[in-house]
Amino acid sequence: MSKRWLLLTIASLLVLTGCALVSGTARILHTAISITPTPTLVPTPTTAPVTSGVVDTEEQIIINVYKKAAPSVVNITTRILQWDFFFGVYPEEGAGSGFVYDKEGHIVTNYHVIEGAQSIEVSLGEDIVVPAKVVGADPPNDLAVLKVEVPPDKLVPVELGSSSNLQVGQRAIAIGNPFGRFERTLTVGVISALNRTLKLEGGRMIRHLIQTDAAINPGNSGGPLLDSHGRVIGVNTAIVSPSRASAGVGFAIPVDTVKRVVPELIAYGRYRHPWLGILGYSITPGFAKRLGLPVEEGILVAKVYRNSPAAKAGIRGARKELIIGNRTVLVGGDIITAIDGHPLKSVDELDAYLEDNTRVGQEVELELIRRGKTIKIKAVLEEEPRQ
Amino acid sequence: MKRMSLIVLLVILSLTLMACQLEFSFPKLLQAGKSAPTAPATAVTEERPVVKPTPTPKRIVVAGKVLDAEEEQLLVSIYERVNPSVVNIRVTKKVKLGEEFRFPNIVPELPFATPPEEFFQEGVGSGFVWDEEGHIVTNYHVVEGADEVEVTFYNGDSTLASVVGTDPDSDVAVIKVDELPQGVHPVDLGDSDQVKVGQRAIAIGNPFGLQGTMTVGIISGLGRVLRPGTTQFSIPEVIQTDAAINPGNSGGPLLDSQGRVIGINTAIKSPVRASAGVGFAVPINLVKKVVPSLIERGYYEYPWLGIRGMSVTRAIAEEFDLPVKRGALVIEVIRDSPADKAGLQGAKKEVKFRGEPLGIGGDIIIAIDGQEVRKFEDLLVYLVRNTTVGQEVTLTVIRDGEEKEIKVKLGKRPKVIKE
Repeated sequence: MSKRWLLLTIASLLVLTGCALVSGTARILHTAISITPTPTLVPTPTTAPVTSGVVDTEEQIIINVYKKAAPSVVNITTRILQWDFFFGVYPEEGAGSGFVYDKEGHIVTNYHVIEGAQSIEVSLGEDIVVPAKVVGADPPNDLAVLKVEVPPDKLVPVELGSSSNLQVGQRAIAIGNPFGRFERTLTVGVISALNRTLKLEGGRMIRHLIQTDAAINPGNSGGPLLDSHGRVIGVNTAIVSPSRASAGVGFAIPVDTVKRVVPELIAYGRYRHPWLGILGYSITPGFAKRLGLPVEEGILVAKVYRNSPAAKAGIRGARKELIIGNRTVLVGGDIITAIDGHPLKSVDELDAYLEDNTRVGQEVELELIRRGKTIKIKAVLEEEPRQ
Repeated sequence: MKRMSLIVLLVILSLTLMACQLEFSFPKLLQAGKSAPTAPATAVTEERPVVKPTPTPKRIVVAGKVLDAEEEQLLVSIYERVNPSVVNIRVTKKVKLGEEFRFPNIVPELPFATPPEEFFQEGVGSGFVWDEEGHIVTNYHVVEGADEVEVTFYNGDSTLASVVGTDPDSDVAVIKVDELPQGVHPVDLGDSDQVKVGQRAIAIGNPFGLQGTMTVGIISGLGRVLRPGTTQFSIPEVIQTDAAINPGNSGGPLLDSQGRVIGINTAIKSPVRASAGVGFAVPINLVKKVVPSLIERGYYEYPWLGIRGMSVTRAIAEEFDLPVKRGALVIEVIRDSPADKAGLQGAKKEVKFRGEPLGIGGDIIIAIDGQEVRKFEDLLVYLVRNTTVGQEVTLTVIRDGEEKEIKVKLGKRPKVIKE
């Protein structure tokens, strides 16, 4: 019960901070059920084109998308060693989906599909089942890149689209491995909404998600969401449902995030998240009133990490503690109100700006209020340290 | 860093939260609990271009994006046009402790460990703008018992609304806001009599609190009878759809491919509280009758006959050797009801049919005003569609093997019928 309490409270806090969030955690789609590896189904080669008149234009569009994109979609089986008090160490299998990224054999999937896996197998169809190794992973964006050693002629990379100009109502087509048993399953729906923010199991926040009513189920994770041209617009990642099955509310990581993160995962094995190095409070009108702050929104800096970009730039953290109720608030630090001219309402907005718009090594300009005066400070972003 | 700042936030701001405790309660049907405002969806156009399934070329350029074929473009423009008319409704109910449940006192170090005397329950539904005066139509079960109704428009503007009128029998309610934001217009109403199975059905609403969600499917069935659970009466001619309808979609519009409202998404059939592809919408033609009365008087009066009964089926007809194989079998006539005054007769004896008690020997209604009654719902449909309180109807009944005509002056349907 206390966990639920905490969750609800966090949700309501986030409401207060003005952050757009769907309360309750979304379900990640990894199938952790033990299943027998399914025999690789060979996608039957479609012979003659269907004569017009039998199939209408809409149907033909979907058929074309499947023909184009299905060969790029792979089936991922993982083996995770679990420990149990009675049985000791035992292997558990998981299943997910992924897609071929390039001719070198890079496969894109969700991080949660391969998280903790001892061994990974990728099925490319046509009886090609090969072991895969993890090239790089970015847990905050729930993305991972695998590599398989397969001759280039057996690899059909996907065509990447763009997620910046999608529209609600547009067709959304998923190909994946629902329930870990039905590989290259096609499900079709529309884009139901855009720019959703979800908190996934484990507390990870994911932004800019595409919402779709195409049936997304456990095992679909890591598979592509396609537009009506068969171009990847997202990576199917999560659902909201009280059961562990599709309720018509599925979410995909936008392909623009994939385009930003995957090249770095291939090059460095990790995504270098830009980092400023502060801890702060999101200011709300009530909070501002209690503390007598000059602004009703922004970030009150509580702590600046030593040697961080913020410290080097001279940003100041709290100078004293204040007791409000029975809690301690760290006050007296700088108030950050804008970055590169973009007004900031909350810590979340700062995180989002850094993640979406900046790179490591980039210089950002922060607008601060210090002792009632507005000043501008430049900071050079560094890579977020791993704890 | 992110997690730490979140925890810091949690601790600091927990004080400010005392007034509002979100708790997930699921009173009935599709009300969603514990949700938070979500990001406004896509930009929406100000004007309302009339959307027709225009004979479009195969490739259309919208905002620099090439879209294939007419269907896709049609859905995009329906969303752009109708989404501004759809609202998110959040209701707060004061609940005295003991009525619901008590939080266990297990986190004594936190300031909220002491439960307050009363707390607030929240529910979320959908609704749509009915007219320029600010009337908004939703489900009765969304606003039932609400102490506060808050409406959030597509652009994030939110305002308090008052409940203007409710009709539990059709599960329809009208609420009102003082002013509509700019660019928010009433929906276009369709004709639910013209709806056909297989035709496209589009829902816009707030499933699981996700405002501005569009889900698309087809009309799966027509003429369903739905009993809302808040009343003893059933809703006739309910539309069934496979568009994903989930908790929070309640009260939102179901649209045809012209973007016109053909129903109000009201209920689902599912073993879990989530879409299984079987959703139900109250037909707009019933809503069109009810809503003007709710706006004018706050309630809707249904004509009333005053009988309970069931449909005659082939099995029942054969088992008990009934003279007809179709019709409405009267089991009970409510005392002092119009049917009672007109002399209709209920069951004379109780028998067992397939293990269940069944009252037989009563009148079998085979027609009303000359219209054939094949099943019990036909009576309900006829009364709701074609009659008003005080009107006289002629029932054709079979009594003791003989056909007979009985005139009944319809009364006013009571709120509750005593058992």
